[in-house]
Amino acid sequence: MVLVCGDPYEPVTAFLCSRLEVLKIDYRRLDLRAFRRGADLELNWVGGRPCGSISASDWRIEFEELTGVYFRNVELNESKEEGEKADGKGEAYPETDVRLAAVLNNLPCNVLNRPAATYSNRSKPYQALLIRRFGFKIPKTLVTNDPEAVASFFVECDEQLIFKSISGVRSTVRRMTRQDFGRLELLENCPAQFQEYVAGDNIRVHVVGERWFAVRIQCEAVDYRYAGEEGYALTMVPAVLPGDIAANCIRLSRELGLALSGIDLKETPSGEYYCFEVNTSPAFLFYESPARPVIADALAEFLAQREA
Amino acid sequence: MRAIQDLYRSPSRISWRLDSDTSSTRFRLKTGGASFEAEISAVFVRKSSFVHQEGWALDEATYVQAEKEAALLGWIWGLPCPVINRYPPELWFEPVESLEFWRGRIERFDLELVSTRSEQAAPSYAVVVIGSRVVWDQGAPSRLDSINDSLVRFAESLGLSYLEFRITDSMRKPQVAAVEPFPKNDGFCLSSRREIINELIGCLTSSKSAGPVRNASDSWF
Repeated sequence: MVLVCGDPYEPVTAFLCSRLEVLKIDYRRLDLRAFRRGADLELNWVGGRPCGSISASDWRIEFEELTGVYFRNVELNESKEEGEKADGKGEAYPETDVRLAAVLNNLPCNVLNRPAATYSNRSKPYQALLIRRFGFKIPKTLVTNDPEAVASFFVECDEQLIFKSISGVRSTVRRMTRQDFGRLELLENCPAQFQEYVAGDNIRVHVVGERWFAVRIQCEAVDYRYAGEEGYALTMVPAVLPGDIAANCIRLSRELGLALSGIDLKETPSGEYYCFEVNTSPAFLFYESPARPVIADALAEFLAQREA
Repeated sequence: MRAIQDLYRSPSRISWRLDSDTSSTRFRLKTGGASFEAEISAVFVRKSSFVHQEGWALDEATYVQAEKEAALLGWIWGLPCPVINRYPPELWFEPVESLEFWRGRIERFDLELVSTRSEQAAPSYAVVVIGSRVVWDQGAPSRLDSINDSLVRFAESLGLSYLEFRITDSMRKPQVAAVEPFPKNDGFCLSSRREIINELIGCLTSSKSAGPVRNASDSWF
């Protein structure tokens, strides 16, 4: 039995559920938006492991029945009442119920991904320090609130610089130009991350257990996720990775405690591989072929512990 | 020694550079004077609320805080010097006070979680792990030392060299009543606090490691 924890209307979660149905894998859906109201945990702990069951209005699963759990809590807190927002306790990320997190962190079955493992990409430079230990290059990076340091870095990188958020809060990656110099004083309020621009093709790698799926993205936009909005064409084709790069993706994912990850690479014209970040709740749907959803199917099979 | 409330707020200006092979920091005050990473011999991290600018909208303040927390976590992990604590991301970004969250780990290290009944009836004592040392608040019965090794291993499993607990002294066995990854020390008497401070200074100024290295096999999984 597979448990899917997420927002049932969120596209990635909904798509996975549709594939579980197609593949005839038994699953139950836990709506994280209504967890406290619509579901319940019966919980005992034995030797540090949770024992018990989880139930909703029309189903109940004993933990020992579970072969795998999919956990995706990505929705921003838009559902909060205005009164809660106005109390000065703004949250950049969605919260997870503490009891549910404790269970998911400690269940013996596969959990993709355990809540505790999803925090590493809330700091991109933290992840970068880990990434570079796994054979990948990382771009020259400056994290700063110092306008003068940025001006020097801009020159050092031959004016080929991008800037983006440091945290996991979504931002559009933008190229820096001389026109941006006038805004550098804003850094006094908030630091930012600047990186040398690396030319080449973006490659997105999804790791599911020990399997990987790579897509090459050919696009002129600096941030291909917004190519359409900026009027750029975007082409995605399956990619083949060198054996050592593929192995490093799997090792990196494992080191971060992730059975499912979305790794952002760039292959330069000279064949070097840069790694930018590891998404811990990857929106793989964007990269799937609707006619051949290999990532979702691999994920479904992994959750069901079926042989690939 | 320099105490800085918010590294990323004027007059403090910090530039952290990293690439595939190196990491370096330049720190300066707007008024002049610069220092470099080599001059930083140790860092003691407290997590305080960042100062919000008057008039900021809530979503702006939330974004700024997320950026500053992300920058600070990365920076402390990039430093070659002793740091207390190099927090793992899950504790840094979402410190939890709920004992339910800690239950699995508590049991795995041969500790027992407090029951509601004993919490009400039994006295409790503050204790802190600093590296491999355990400092109990003055007056704690010496029989509580029996769990010292478990407390140290618990802290090590999180990669923390400074971790506070509150332990209830029930008749059967000491029980964990609180875990505090961001120690406040407010449950300790003055002399115990002095001992804690001296231990911390010792860790920060000696060559011994101020932070066990945690790898994936030590984590939650």
